[in-house]
This record gives sequence, structure tokens and C-alpha cells, in this order.
Amino acid sequence: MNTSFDVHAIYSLMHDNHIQFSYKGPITQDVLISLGDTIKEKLHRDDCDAKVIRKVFSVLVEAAHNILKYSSEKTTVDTSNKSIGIGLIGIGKSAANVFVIFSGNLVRTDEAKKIAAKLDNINQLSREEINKLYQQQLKQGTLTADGSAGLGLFEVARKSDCPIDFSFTPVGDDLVFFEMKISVKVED
Amino acid sequence: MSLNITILGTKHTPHIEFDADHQRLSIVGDSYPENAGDTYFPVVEKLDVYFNDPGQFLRVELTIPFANTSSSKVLTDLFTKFQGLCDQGHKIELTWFYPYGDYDCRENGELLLEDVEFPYKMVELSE
Repeated sequence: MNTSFDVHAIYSLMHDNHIQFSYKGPITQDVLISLGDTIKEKLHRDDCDAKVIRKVFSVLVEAAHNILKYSSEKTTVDTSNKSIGIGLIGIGKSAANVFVIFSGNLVRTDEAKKIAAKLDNINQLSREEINKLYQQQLKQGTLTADGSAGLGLFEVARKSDCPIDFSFTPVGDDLVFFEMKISVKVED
Repeated sequence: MSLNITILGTKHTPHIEFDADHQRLSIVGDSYPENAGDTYFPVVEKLDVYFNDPGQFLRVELTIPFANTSSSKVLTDLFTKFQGLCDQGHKIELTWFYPYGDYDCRENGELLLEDVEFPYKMVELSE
């Protein structure tokens, strides 16, 4: 491993952006559980409203499972031979009363186009319309073999207090880095 | 062969107990596995066999404070299945328990149960 990288730069970036934690690697269920527990405990200690904690946790779960299932960078862990997506996930604050859950992972260019179309569509819908589509998909959709219900992004949008902030950065042949930031406001 | 089955709960999956002898299914705990289909499949399989006999009764007690989308989908499909069974003459009595003051959990239960016609109760757990 090259050791010339700047730990202080990573520290400063996280500190200056009020990032409370961030993890990069295979997003296994175990990783999700420990990140979830850590953040729930921290928010609880900060006397955060239970409603907000649940929103933050829900977004974290859906974002983590998106990476686990859809990242085009994959690895296998332990002996199960199961393929696990690699990505970056974390939580920070963009203001005293706004939590930001962020995720980033590689996707193929054609996938990126589909995700962008879906998010562009979600972002121009009202809360009522999102809820309606969520309910419709809940009742009429089918669960895929990997356990996806096609509901993840709708759920994220239902819990978010702002449009979903997303972007794509080309990183090479047919691959783009997909990043998403989801804001959850603390109610007064 | 007994149809009874107990699936022990984990941090991210609920404790599931189907006691066919006492006509009771209970699911207790947070549910956020990546693939809820896998989690619930063993009990759904047993329920299918149980309802092969005509005129069955089942008491269903659910306490699921948190469900991810994969779990919500599996639960909705289960409730749709229950409705179909009721239409065939089986009887289901379902109770959705929610933690004290947790109206989000109550609302989520109501949303998942929106289309069922069999009677169900919403019960707030004591503090």
C-alpha cells in the first residue's frame, strides 16, 4: 500500500463538512447493522427526535442496500460466495438542523442513465404523488430474486425533506461514479 | 409432520413463530434484511400447507417497529395472501402492535393493510 496519502486531508475534509462517519468498502449487512447502531445511539444521545432517527436510519438502510445490490464494483466476503457491492456511505450535517446521508458507488453508463431518469422523475413529483407511486409499487410490483421491491428510491424520497441531490462522474470506459445526498431535517 | 416453526430473531430480522397447533403466528422485531423474501420464505411455505385444510383459523400478531422496503413488500404480499384465504372461507384475526406513542409505526401498518377487508386491530403497546 502506498502510504504517501494525506490522513490530515481526510480528517479535515470530514471535520469541515461535519461528517459524523463514513465507510468505504463492501456494504455487508454486518456493516449496515453496526453503522446503523452507531448513528442511532449518537442521535439518541443528542436527544434527537425518534421520528428523525427513524427517517435517517431508513434512508441509510435503503442507500446501503442500493450499493450492496447495484454497485458495479463487487467482491465476495466470507465463505458464502455471495457477491457484495462496494461503495461509500456516510452521514454528515449541512446545517445545525439538517442531516445529510450520502452514498457513492460505481455503475455502468447505461445503468446511470436509468437511475438519472428515475431520480429526475421523482424530484419533480409532489410528496403526495411520491406516496401514491410508492403505494402503487408496493401493491402491484413483484419482489425480485434478490429481494428488491423497486421501492428503495421512492422510500428515500418519502423520507427526504429536499429533492434528492445526485450526480455522475465519468471514471473510465463505461463506468461512472454515482453519488447521492439525501437531506433529513430535524423538526423544531 | 408438525408445521410449527420458529425463526430466531437477529438484529435485522424479527423473531417469527408459527404455532400451527395453537393457530397462531407472531412476528416481533425490526425487519431490514437485504432480501426479506429469503427471511420470510420458510414460514410462508408452512402457512401455505396449513391453509390447505379448509376453514382454518389463524391469529396473527405483529410487532414490527421498523421495516425496510423489502420487508414491507413481503408483508403486503402476505396480507394479500391472507385476504385471498379469507375469501376462500378461512378466518384470520390480525393485530398490528405499535410501540407506545409511535404513530409512524401505526401509520405504516395501516398503509400495508390498506387493501385488506378482513378485520384487524391496531394496538398501542404500554410504555
